[in-house]
Order: sequence, then structure tokens, then C-alpha cells
Amino acid sequence: NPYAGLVSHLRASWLSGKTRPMEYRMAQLEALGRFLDEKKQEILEATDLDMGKPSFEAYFSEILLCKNELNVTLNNLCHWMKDEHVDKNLVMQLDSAFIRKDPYGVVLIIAPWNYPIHLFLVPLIGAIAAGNCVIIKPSEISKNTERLVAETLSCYLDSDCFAVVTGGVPETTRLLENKFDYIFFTGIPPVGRIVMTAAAKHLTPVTLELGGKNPCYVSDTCDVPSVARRVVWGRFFNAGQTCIAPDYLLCSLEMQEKLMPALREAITEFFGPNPQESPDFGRIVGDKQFQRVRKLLCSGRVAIGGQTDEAERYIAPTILADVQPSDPAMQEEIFGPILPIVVVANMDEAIDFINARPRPLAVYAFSCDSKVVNQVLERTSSGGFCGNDTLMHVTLTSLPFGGIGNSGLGKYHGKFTFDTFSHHRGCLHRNMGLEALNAPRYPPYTQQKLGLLTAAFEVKRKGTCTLL
Amino acid sequence: MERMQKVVGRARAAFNSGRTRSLEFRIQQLKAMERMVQEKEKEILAALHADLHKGGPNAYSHEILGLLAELATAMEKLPSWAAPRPVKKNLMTMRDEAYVNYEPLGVVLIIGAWNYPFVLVMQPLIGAIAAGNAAVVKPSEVSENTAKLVADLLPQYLDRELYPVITGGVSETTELLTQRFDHILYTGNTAVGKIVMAAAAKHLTPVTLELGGKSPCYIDKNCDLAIACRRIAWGKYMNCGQTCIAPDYILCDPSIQSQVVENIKATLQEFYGKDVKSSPDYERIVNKRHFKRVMGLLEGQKIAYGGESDEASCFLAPTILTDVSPDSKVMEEEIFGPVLPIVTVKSVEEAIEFINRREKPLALYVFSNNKKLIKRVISETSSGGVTGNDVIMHFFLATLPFGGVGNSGMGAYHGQHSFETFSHRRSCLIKDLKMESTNKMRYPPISQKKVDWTKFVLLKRFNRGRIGLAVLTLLGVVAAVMVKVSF
Repeated sequence: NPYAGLVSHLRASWLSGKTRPMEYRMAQLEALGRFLDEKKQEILEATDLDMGKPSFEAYFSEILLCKNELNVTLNNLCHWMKDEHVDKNLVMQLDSAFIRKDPYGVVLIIAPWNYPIHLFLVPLIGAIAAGNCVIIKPSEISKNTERLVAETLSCYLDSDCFAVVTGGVPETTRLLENKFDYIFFTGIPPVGRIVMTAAAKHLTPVTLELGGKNPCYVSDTCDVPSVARRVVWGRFFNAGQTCIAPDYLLCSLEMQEKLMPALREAITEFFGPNPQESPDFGRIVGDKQFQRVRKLLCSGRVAIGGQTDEAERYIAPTILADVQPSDPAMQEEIFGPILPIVVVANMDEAIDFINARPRPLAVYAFSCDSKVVNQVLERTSSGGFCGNDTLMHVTLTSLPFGGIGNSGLGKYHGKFTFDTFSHHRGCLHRNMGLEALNAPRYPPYTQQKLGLLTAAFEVKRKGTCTLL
Repeated sequence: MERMQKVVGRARAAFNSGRTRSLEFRIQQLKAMERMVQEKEKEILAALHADLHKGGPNAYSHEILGLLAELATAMEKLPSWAAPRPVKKNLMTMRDEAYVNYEPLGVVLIIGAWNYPFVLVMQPLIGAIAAGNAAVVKPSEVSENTAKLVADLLPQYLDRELYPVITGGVSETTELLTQRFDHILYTGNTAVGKIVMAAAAKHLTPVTLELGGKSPCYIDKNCDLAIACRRIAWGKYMNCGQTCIAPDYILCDPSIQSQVVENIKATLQEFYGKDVKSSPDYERIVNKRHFKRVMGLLEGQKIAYGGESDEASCFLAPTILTDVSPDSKVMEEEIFGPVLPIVTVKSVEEAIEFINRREKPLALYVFSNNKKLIKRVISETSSGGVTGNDVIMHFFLATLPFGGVGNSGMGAYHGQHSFETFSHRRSCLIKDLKMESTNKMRYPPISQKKVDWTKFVLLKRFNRGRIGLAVLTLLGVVAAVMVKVSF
């Protein structure tokens, strides 16, 4: 196996204990910070070449949000690494009981192309913080960013413990044949299944950040201009190539009518009369993806946009009206700048519509009535939820980010990344003395000993009311 | 196939009806389970005796006592476990509601093992019910009396549609695994663990695998050998060695090897009397297949104590092997029987190296009067869990997560960890539609001013704790006003 040597080299480094001291981990994390600072321009250029990513978006998602995660980790690593002492029962009062955070060993991070720096770097922060050695496999589809990472990351991180592997499907398949101690994958569900099946052969635990169709319900009582702006922002960010983008809208016929001019106005406000000329609107990453997304335009009717330019892989910010559940745009995750509107009679119908489909990464609900927002939240299931806005729940590092069912398993961001890459080891350090207290547990077993054990271990149910 | 589909389908329909959402319902089911365990105690102990030759007080303390404690804890703490958890907000989300909502996963599958056949399906079930799921329970067919009892009892006390029991062997389990579940908790061996995870991968189902391995037990020269050996003998020979966290083998200096043997011998007399075969407190190996397997491990070994056996009753006396070679068969697989090999090592470094060369075990034990040495062994090795100066006991503290790592498993449960294992932590951010002006800084068209504002609100440059909420609020208001004015 072409990667066996690399994996065993990293494993040897890990076994040497190099990554254990907090100082080492902090130093590597600080180096990552310098990577983001010093290579900022190159990152903006590479992502622009890869998918026409507007520089503000690239700065926001690839630099700013990453620095946020880095700072949260650097500020708290000392605290996170500490043994977590737990409540003890009667028998163990004199013992030391704690949860130790152990690194797993050699972990693999597989990243996709849509946020090519962010989606390997944020997991990497947690993996390093937890004391692991890491192999990073950036996406070959965002090839400029892939080259940048492969060529420059090694100048910042310790090459004994951290390596970048490049390549496509055949290389990734061979890489997955090796035994890793944890695999973190971001991508589409079919490949998620392949990764988990490969992981099962070695009993490797995984986190899978997948995707799906994120529904966005807009109720009849809402501030239409604000809703329009927030939805347009979330949908067309990165030309729609965002795993948590609002994938389709559910609303009543009246609301569809009211929203249309507001959506048109928001698009013009953001991108001007000809979005193809706006520096703030991106492109589709590759020809294959462009062909796929373009086909989805034959759904419902094109109410806004619809123009395409194959040479630039440009698809205009598009709103499709009166889309049917059987239309092409409703069969797969769109991952492009197209927002279909599916008309439903009311909130109940919207909720049923959402629940009849695989659980998505995010559910969005817009309403001035907080009861409506709460109803949608309570009666649906998804990775995360945002009321009255789109995307924003993932910018808060204290909220766990992950999917459920088809949209994934596991979570990360902030401390959750550190926890994802740590084995939480239950430790009980007992006293050698006081052996007499242990006597009830030894054979020969008697009813009397059992009575003592019961008294010691029993958890009594507290009464539901206290009588004076 | 059809039967499985029907059973799982019914459980899913029952889950979708929403009746498990209310905490009252879940507590009511847990209370019913508690009643079942209390009212049917005799039947449960009888089944355990039939399956494993386990005596009454023994079976009660291993399989019922802990269960009742978990039930009481779950019923007590459920409201606090299930409450939404507010999270720290940043400047941008100051006016919003941000919290983690604990939600059920859906229909989960619990596959039990035969060695502690009752508690290993019931304890996970407590967590599954507490978290609001439906659960399909598949007890091990090897412990057939307990399996039959569980299949009989559960429908009498718990909701029949939500918590069905499926009995059967390998072919039934394989069929069951083709169905879609929202979480699978499997207790058993490594080989089947891989099969379960591969089946789960087809549906992207998260798994908790409680597997096994060879749990090492290092005895330092500097320790009270009498006490250490008594504790080790207790943990090793309980359930006839058929415990996933039993100390599998001993590592110690050659100079104390014979003392260890003598101390364990003395303890065994204390525990089981002169004729261990007639002690009501000593169990049997579960079946002929395992009996033959464990007997095979004795070939070519130096038996320092024990070794007597009787195939007809699957009886094997508590046995100690000395000067065992690391390459012998008994050191290759998890023993899961009353055979205790001693491998000599010259130093704690050698012991650590020995342990690290092998697969990560479910438990690790170290005995020493030197606290620093114990800490060192813990820090330089990896294992599911650890008990220092005793064995098994970390299992009995529900606040510690119980689970493996590497080949010994993934995920954990017990106490609140069970609740979390069977829950989905859903991130929720609830904003309002007002204050749109603060959003304007993120909308295109982009200007340098907007970039600077975004940097200000997002980057955690300052230590919020020192600044204080009042100042933050003031900053937020100022920011909002200025943004409204500028844009």
C-alpha cells in the first residue's frame, strides 16, 4: 500500500509521545495561525481560481471563522486537557475518579472542495489540540487550493506528525485501506457510506459531515424584506455551494407572490442588475458540477434569473416558482445558486413535507410569531436549526455542528472538535487501604453481604414532594 | 425478513406517533421496568442460574443491584438531562436564543451478550428509553433462558410496540441488521463488531460498540500483595472469568511471581472453600464450545494452580499459569475464562511497552503504593477505562463513561452517558426579524468598512469574562446604532 509507510511513520511519532505536551500542541496551533495570516492572499487567490469565490466570502469563511476556532482553542486548551473529575458514589468517596482525555493516535481528515481551507483546518485544529498525528486529504476538485495546501502546510507544521496527501478517488481508496484511529469526513452521503464501511474493517470511529436538502419554511406572518435578504444571502453565498444553504423554500401561494419582488430586490441590492459582473458572486467549481446544476433549472418556472454562461461556469441567482415535489430540483441536494419554491397550504403541511424526507443538516423557519418557529423546531428533526435567519448557527463555536441520519453522524466546532478527537477514558484510582470496606463483595456470597452492598450502592429515588 | 420489517416498522410508527416525547411517558416506562425487575426477581435469578450457574446473591449484585441504581438515577435526573442547554453567545448573537436541544434519535437497536445477559440489554435500554427512543432488543441466544425471559417479560410491563424483543441467532441478527436503525449499541466480540459496523455503514447509522480484548494487570513490586491479589482474584474469577473487563493477564517482576501465586491461592480458598466445584458461588463456562476453547489455551502451559476440569458440567477450576510466553496461544486472544497467565517483566517501562505493542484493551489495571507510578502507567498507555489499585470497579461509577477504544470498541454509556449516546444534540439559534441593520454588514456589495465591522464582532480577541456583560451590551448597542447610521 503506497501510504503504509507514511501511516506507520506518523504512528511511530505518536507512540514516541511527541504530541502529548500541551506546549507542543499550542506551538503547532500557533503555526496554523501564522499559515492563515501569511498565506491569506494565496488562499483568497486559490479559492477565486477554484470557484470564483468572492474575496469577502473567502476571507469570512476561510480565514475569519478559522481564526475564531483557533483562538477559542488556544484560549481554552489548558482547561480542556485537564482531567474531568466526576461525582462519586458512597463507596468511592476516598478514591479519585476522573475522565482522562486521551488522543486517539493517527487520524485522517478528508475535506471537500466548497470551503476547502475551512473544512480541513477546523477539524485539524481539534485533532492537533487533542494530541493526535494527522493525515490531511484535501479535495482534488478545488485543485488550486489543494496545491497550495500540499506545498505550504508542511512549512508550518511538524512533518513528523502531520502530512498532506493529494489525489482523487483511487488514491483515497488506497489511503482508506490503512488503519486509522479516527476518520473525519466531510462530503456527500454515498461517499460517507464508503468511508464508514472502510472504517468498519479496522473498527475506526468516524465523524461524517454530510448533507441533504435543507428546507426553509416561511410563514404568512413575517417581515418580507428581511426574510428575502436573509434567504438570498444564505442561498447564494458561494454560489449556493454550501452544505447548510437553504435548499428549498416552503410557503403559501400568497407568500410566494409577496416574496418574489422582495427576492428580486434583494438580489439586485446584493449583486447589481447583472450579477455576472458582480465581484461578490461566485461560480460553480467545475464543468461536471455545472452540467448537473444546470439540468435542475427545468423545474417549475424560472421567476428570477435562469441565465447561464458555460465558459465561466456562471449560473445566475435563480428563483424557481411553483416547483413540484417530483421536479428535478427536488430530487437531490441542489448545491448551486437556485432556490425552488414549493407551495404548501399551511405550516402543518410544511412540517409533514419536511418529515416525509431524509433528515437534513439544517432546518430554517421564518416567522414573526415565535410559536410558529418553535412548532417547526419541535416537530421536525435535523442536524441544526436556525429561526429567522440562515447559516448563522454555525458561526457560534459554542454550538455543536453536525448532522443526523443521512446528513451525518458526530459533531464539531469549538470544544466539540477537541472532544471528537479525544478518547474519554473513565479512570478510577482507588485506595489500597480500607480493604474491610470491600469485604461484602467477596465470596462466599451471603444474604447479609448482599444487604451491605445494597446499602452501599443503592441509589434511592428522592420523593417528589418533601413533607415538613 | 418480513417479520423483522414489520416489527421495526411498528416501532418506527409508534415512535413517529410522538408519544415518547413527553418525559412523563418515559419515566412511566422506566418505572414499569423497575417494577418488572422487583416483581420478577426470582424468575430473573433462576434464568441466570440456568444459563451461567450463578448463585442468587451473586446474580443479584451483578445484574440487578446496578440496574436498580441506574433506573433510580435516570428517573431522578431525566428532567435535568433532557433540558435544553443554553450556550455562550458572541457579540453578533447577543440578542438571540442559542441552545442545544436534546432530541431522540428514533428507533435504536440493542444487541446483548451472553455473559451478563440481563444487565447488558437492560442497562442500554434504560438510556434508550430515557432519551425518548423506540428500541428493538436482541438478547444473546447463547444465554437462552435469559433471552426467553426477556422476551416474555418486556411486553408484560413496557409498551409493546415501542420496545419489541427479537430472539434468535446469527441468521436472525444478520436479517435484523439489514433494517434501518438510528443507532445500534452492540456488546460482544471484535469480529462481530466489525460486521455490525459494516451493516450500520449502509444506513449511515451511528454505533456504540462495547467489545473486548486482553485487559492487562500490572503489579508493582511496591504494593500490598495480599490485598492486590485478593482484589484481582475477585475480578478475574467472577462469572468464571467471563467478564469483558476481567483482568485478563498479569504483568509483574519475576521476583514476586510466586508470592502472587500463593496469595491468589489463599484467596481462592477463602472465596470458594476447599472443593471449589461444590461452591454455590463459582459459576460454569457457558457452553461446550467455549469450554473447549479455554481448555485449548492451557496446552503446553505451566499450571501453577488449578487446571481441574469436567467437560460434562463445563467446569474449569480457577487456574493460574506462570512464566507464560508472550507468543503463546493464551496470550493471543481474550481468555474469557478462569485462566490467569502471569507474564514476567523486569520494569514498569517494559510493562508499558508490552501493553502498547498490543491492541488497546477495554480496561487497564495497575497496582502500586506509588501514586506517581500509577499516574505514569495511565498517561503512557491507552485503554477504554482504568482502575488503579483494584479491578472492575470503574464499571460501577455511573458518572464515568464506560466504553472501549480501538479494537475494544467505540462510544460509551452508563448514567448520563447513556442518555447522551441515545440522543441527538441539535443546535438551535433563534433570532428575530428585527435589527436587520446589524445584518447589513454581511450582505454584498462588500466594502472594506464591512470587512472591518465583521472582524470586530467575530474575532474573539478580548477576554469576555473581564469585560463584563454590561460593557458588552453597551458595545452592542453602539455597534448597532453606528451600523444603522453608516449603512
